[in-house]
Amino acid sequence: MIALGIETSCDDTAASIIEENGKILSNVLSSQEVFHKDFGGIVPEIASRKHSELIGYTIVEALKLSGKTMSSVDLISVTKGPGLVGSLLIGIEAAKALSFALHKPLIGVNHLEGHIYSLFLDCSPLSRVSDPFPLLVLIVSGGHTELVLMRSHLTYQVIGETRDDAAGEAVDKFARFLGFGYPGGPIVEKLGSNGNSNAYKFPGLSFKDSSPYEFSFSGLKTAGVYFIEKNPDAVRENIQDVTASFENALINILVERTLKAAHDFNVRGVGVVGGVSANERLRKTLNAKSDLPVYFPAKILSTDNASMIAFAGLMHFKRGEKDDLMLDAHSRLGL
Amino acid sequence: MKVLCFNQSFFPSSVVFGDEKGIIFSLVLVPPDNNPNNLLFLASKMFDTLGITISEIEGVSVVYGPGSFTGTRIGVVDAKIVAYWLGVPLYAINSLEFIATHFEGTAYAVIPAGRREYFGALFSNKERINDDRLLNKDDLCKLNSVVISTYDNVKNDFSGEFVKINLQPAKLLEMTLKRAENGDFVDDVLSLSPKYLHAVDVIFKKANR
Ligand SMILES: [Zn+2]
Repeated sequence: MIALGIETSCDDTAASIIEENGKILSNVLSSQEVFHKDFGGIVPEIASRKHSELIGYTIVEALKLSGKTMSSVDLISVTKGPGLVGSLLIGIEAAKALSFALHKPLIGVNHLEGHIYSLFLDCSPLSRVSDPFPLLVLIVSGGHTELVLMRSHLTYQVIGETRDDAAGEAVDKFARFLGFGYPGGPIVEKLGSNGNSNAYKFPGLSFKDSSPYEFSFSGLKTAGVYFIEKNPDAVRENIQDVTASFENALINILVERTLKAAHDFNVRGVGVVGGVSANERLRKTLNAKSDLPVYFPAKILSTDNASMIAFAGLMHFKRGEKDDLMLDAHSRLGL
Repeated sequence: MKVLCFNQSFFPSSVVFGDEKGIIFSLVLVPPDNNPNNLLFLASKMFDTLGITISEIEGVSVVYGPGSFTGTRIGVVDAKIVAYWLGVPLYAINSLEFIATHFEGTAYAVIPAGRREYFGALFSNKERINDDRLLNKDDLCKLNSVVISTYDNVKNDFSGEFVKINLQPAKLLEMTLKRAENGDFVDDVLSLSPKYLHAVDVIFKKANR
């Protein structure tokens, strides 16, 4: 069985071809970063316009690289939400038009579920674990920070979320105040990679006991912005230490909450997915502090991609689920 | 030649399937079920009900704007993906020209563009007199001609003579077949993009003002 995945929930146009066991045959991503850079963030109308320009070619390229033809595709799997509604609609419409023209089954996938299934793709170590459940998954990106408990495949219990900013969002805003432009997360990571992460003190969480699995990053973000304003010398002379310290504080929040939940729910392992899961400091810290196995997707699959959507769709399809051409976009879809 | 024609660019969204002998089926979406992304579902139901196979489609056309950004994009993506994967020609129809085919005489065809702006162009007996342009409320009031639109509320911003157009999908079929006869198809099917008139940086500035 072969699945085509389509992902357009934010600013990347992505298509992928995978096999039934999660083996990736192609994973194509048309980045729009260059078009959004000048605006200091993602402009939804630009994203929608670029998706509609790129979507057809991206699908054709994914097929070409996979060595397959459209006739061998058994399922079309597409992100239905959450995300930018105008962006989601382009991927969904392309998937529906393919399903209409070629009589292929169609399935809409939750983007967050897609991220979770990046852990189960054939190239991920977790795919070789025979019974990984219960599994705790930290979804951490520019739009999401939540802890999800999985007791079996395709079942999710959200046990904690962020109260305010997502972790990636806080880093991006901190980077913007440092004048790094968009997207700032990778720049902060690069600068901080050789810095002293204990050079400066940034705050952790203020509500430790009442909500043990919730996150909050607005306090840290505000402290970061305040620090930049009050310490121009440190920013000018020790930017590596400043970024390392800020990143370290953020990662400590993520790690502390995740490991507490992992312990309380007695899970067999911890998975980390989403854009921030590509962060090397997060990977190292969590691996060092956890006595449970920790699983990350390949870095290229941490960020948005269509392979994870194809695979999550396949999992549902194998259970007899599918959608019809009424499939619609849901900007605020939860797990 | 059997062609499938989409309009999600302006209200009302419609789809028509037919050939030189006339319409085989047509659908016009009206409120509350006027979501442009439901059109494919409804079209597929018509194909099933009438026992027509998708492979009978020999050409596809789409109204590619100017019009609703989201609606137009949905239509363009539907049409280009269907045309590409069926391996049939794609024809791009201008929204204002489509409206103008419904009227004899000289008239400005307009479509609301949001923020009290309008996409408009002047036509005389369906022949284009000027290019598509963006009009504001003042421009609209100064127009010295009949204004035609499928949108009722256009007359609220305008004191001159207004004629409400009742959209006829048959006109879209006619225009498409004429394009096909003239060999006026889109060269690179997947390259078709909506006609916006609004540059993104202008929208961005207005949104952040
Ligand atoms: Zn994502």
